[in-house]
Amino acid sequence: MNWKRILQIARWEFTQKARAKSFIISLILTPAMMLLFGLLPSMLADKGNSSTKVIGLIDSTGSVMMPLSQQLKLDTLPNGQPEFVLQSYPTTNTPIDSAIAATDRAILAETMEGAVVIRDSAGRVVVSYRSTNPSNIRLVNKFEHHIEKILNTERMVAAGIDTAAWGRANQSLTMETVKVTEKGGEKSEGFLQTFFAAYIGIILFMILVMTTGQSLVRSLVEEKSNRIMELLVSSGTPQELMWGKLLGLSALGATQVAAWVIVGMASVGYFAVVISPDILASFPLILLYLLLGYAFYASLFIGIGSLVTTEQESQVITSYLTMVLVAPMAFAFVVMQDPDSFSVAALSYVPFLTPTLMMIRLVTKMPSPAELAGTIAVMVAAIGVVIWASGKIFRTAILMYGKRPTFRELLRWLRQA
Amino acid sequence: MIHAEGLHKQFATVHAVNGVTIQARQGEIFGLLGPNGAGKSTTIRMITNIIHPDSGSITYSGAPFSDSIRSSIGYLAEERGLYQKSRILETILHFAALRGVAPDTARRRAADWLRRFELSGSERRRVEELSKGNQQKVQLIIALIHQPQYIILDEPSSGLDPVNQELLRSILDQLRDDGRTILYSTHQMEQAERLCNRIALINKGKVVLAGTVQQVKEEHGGNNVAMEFEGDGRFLRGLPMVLDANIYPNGAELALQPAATLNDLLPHISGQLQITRIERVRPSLNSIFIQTVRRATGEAIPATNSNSITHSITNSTT
Repeated sequence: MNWKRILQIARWEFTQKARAKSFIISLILTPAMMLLFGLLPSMLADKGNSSTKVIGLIDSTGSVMMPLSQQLKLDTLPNGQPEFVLQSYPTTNTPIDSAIAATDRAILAETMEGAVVIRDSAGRVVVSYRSTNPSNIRLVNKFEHHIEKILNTERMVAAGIDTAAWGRANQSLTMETVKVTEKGGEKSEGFLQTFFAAYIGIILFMILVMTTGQSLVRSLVEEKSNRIMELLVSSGTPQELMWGKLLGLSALGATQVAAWVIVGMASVGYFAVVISPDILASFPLILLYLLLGYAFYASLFIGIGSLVTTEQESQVITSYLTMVLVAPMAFAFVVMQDPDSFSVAALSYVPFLTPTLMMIRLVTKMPSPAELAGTIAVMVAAIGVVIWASGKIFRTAILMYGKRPTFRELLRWLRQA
Repeated sequence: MIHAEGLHKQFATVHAVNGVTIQARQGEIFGLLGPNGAGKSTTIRMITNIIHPDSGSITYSGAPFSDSIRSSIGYLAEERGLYQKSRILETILHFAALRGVAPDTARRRAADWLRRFELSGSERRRVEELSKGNQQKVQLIIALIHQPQYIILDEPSSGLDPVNQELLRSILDQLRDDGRTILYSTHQMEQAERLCNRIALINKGKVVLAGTVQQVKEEHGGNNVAMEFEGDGRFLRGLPMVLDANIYPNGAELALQPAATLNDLLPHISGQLQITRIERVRPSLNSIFIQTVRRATGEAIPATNSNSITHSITNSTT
């Protein structure tokens, strides 16, 4: 093999693809979207309401209005104004239905955000919230919590229970999770942060494989349909061509990862995000599995991509490979709940799943050194096998136009020396 | 010299190349002729080492294929294309680098070739912005940029206008005079006749005819008459002394019975056609091509791309 030619092909692949709009978009847009998805929900959630909202109250028990107003006075907007103002609709002289009709009109006229209706039906209290936007979970939760507390207090008083004593006895409880490691007990960053760290890692891996894999298959289709392949194969051997492409593709992937890491580090610094030491400690291993996974899928794309002859076929192929890639996302939750289970351990040795599963396991519970060594060995072996098979298929398939080989032909190519 | 000896290549049930032996010598243009699907391109792909023969051997100035020989082959494929989104100069430089040409040298040569092909100023244009003919010129530059000893061109003039065909011809003449070995595959006989020193005609994977253009013409020299006229010459085909006829809109080439003379022919023509020229000629390569292929297949074949043929021969007795 002529290394100069391999490097020239790699350089060509890299510069041509790195200049493509799709690559530049994915280079910039992916981290931007990650940041946006990461930060936007929390920013929106923290922001809450920006102006005072009028809430109608139809209270057939007659006992909620006062204490609820007191409670709501504690909730203020950043400008000091109250978040909610209650507007009561008495039900003593008017039927409850006409009160509801009145609130509905106000809601539709947008002079009122929503209305809380409390009915006492044979000793059982039924509370409902009416609004054009009943899915405002934050608001619903707040009123639900307040009203529940008021009604419970009222019932306790009626039953002769000392509410002060009850308040002391009935304290709400939050369980703190502590992760036990070799270094002793450390306060865990919580399930969600771990989960999202792994999840984001997997999504980045998927985007990486999909974008570069797709552009590889695309360029192979172009080279075959334009017959550039003839020129390439007369200028170098198919093996050189394959290695050049793999190398160029890897450089492309590495560029993308480097860009993401830089953006990630910059935003961690800028937003002063505290990353759990567990995730930081496993970062080199995460990177290793990511690279191994990338090499595995890139070699797979080269072999399978060389069989493709049309743009449509290339889409079908990439979507199938993507499905395989996405599969571990489906059982990410299971892995996080029980990273030690036999099935998770066994599936970690399936090369298609190893990178993603191990990424999740690394942040949830560090697998044993034997498992790390075993899965890395399996990945390296799998990459070797895939490159070998892809090389065999590649050298024949790249010169086949308009006809897909049969399975039998594929087997024959693999057997050929 | 490129020497291919007894090449065989089978694809599934098709014996695409069946014992082809050819020799293209240094300092000559060797024409590889044949109808579509004859096995020309398969032969060429074996010579360029893109595919391997099932049996037979190929040597380049006596040596088998090697990596250094790969870099001394300039190849223009029959069905060809380029990276459509890439720029012209960078594409040329990429392929030059693959053939081991130093960047500075490649740049200098590329500028020279682009000037000769009247493409100066297009260096930074994208391939897709060029006309088909101009794309082909870029492909020719790619085939020649590394100054190859062995130049293998598969239908190089298809897509070129007459002016550029002439330019290609002069370039090939010059390369031949420089001592390169040129293998030129075509099914355009007029070109082969004008350009090639020696030819081999391939049909159904076999060489059916070989030698210098003169030799081939002499060996297959029949009793031929070329004429130009005004009028409908289709009746010529039915004349008793005519064995074979290529009828064009304003002329014809007739193969006469061995004993027939011009004097036998003229009485049948006078009054029917306004003759402007008539002479006894050697058969054109085109006629020989058609006759040989027909003889080999034993059936009528449609006239190939030979530009001016309007009616093919129907009453061959051979």
